Amino acid sequence: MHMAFLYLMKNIMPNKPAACKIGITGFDKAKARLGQYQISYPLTDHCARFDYLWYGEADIIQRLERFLLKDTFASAIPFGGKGLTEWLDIDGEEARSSINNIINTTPFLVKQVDQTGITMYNIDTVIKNISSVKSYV
Amino acid sequence: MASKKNYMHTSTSLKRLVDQYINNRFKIWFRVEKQFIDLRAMSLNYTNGEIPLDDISKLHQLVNNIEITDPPYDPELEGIVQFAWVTWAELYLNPVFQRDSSPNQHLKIKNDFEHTSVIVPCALKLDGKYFIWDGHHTLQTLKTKNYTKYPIWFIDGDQISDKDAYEKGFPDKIKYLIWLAGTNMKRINLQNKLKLSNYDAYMISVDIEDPKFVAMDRILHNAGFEAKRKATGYAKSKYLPFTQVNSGMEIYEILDSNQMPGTYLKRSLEFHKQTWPNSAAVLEIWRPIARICANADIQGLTLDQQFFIDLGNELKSLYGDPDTAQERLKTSLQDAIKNHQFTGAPQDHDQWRMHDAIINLYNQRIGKIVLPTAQCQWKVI
Repeated sequence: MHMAFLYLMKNIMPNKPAACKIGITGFDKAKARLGQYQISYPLTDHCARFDYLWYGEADIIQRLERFLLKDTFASAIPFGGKGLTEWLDIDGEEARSSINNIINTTPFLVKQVDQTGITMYNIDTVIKNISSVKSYV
Repeated sequence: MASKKNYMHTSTSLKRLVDQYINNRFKIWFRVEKQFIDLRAMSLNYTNGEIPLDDISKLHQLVNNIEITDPPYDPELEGIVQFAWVTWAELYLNPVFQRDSSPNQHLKIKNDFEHTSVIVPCALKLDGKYFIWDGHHTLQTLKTKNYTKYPIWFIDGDQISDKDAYEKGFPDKIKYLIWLAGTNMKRINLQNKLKLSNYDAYMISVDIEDPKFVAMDRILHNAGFEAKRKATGYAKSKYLPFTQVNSGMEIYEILDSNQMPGTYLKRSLEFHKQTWPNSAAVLEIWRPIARICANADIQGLTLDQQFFIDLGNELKSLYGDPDTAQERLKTSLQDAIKNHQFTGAPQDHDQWRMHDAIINLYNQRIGKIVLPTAQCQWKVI
């Protein structure tokens, strides 16, 4: 069974208008994805992180992301073009709340990771803990 | 012709640009996308719903990122294309730029003929003769309706000189005109034809108050759905999207034991809304449910309210959203076929496969009442 994450990243730039990004990545690619996001910053300034994660079977995560971008957040995407269409001009906490609301009311069979601020240093543990939960789905 | 502007959409998303434009100009929001503009919703902004074509034009220019830069052009005074009423004897056909004639097509038009729905045929005029390049079957139908004059929209070849043809790279004007007529014929009939979508045909039928479409539309609304072109992007609507209008009509037309249509469509949509109050209608959920209801009636079985509650709860707890539910149920049959773990004959069509899948699921996981028999049985979970 292929598992994936839906991730939410807050805008790291201080004193800027609200913004956040959502995206998806497989369990097997999540660490590499964080590495990609790290490329633009020195670690001493910023450690790339997923502020919030949800997880589930890959097809459900994909369906959830499509719904969020095409429906829930369609009006919150300010820019078009490569690398821009997953950025929302709303606050990360507001987006998180909306995502949880959609997951609960539709419902989508995905779960939120309790831990926040997931980086390349702790993502393996997060995945290990999820994989050890036998009761899921 | 309008030319391209390059600066406008480079950063701001089209949706944002359009939303800003609509918010500034209109009181009532309507959906604007590259594929379509929701004119029904747009018309609510106008007295009597009369939309000036200019307002639609501005939206087209915005969405397509074009502006009008050409100098004003009056085709009536300056154009080589004109309109005329002509006699039958003046009409000709050159097979180089017209397709073969089809008596069947002629008959099809004739059987549905109406004087007020004649689209003007197009021709190329040369030496007083009108060579048809579009609308030949329409003209043949008009002939059998005994018309004495025929409407023609024509390119006046007599206004084109050999010099014009040389400039376009043709050896003489005849070759150029033949190329023009043939290219136009392909443009109109092949390249730029926008087929009437099922959604548009449905909405027109509702608007002209075709009784069965009106009845189906009322069923949709009562169940909390509305016919839409797409399943997403209607967060502002109080109704959930229903995009499968043709299948909806097919199910609507099934008669119940009292010879009434619509019963099973109503029941299945109510089930969908009750189970997933925030989800767009998923065809392979509501349609097989309607089929199960119809078959139950035929077989004298009663599906009580508890059946729908139990089934809905089971689907939600196993699969979550309705799209995942139908995907997983279909996959379960594919797996069963692959592993030769089924009894009976798998159905050919998705709606019947889902019909069997839901019955099998209910029998295996709930089993409180008797359902119609599934043609193919397999272990769904």
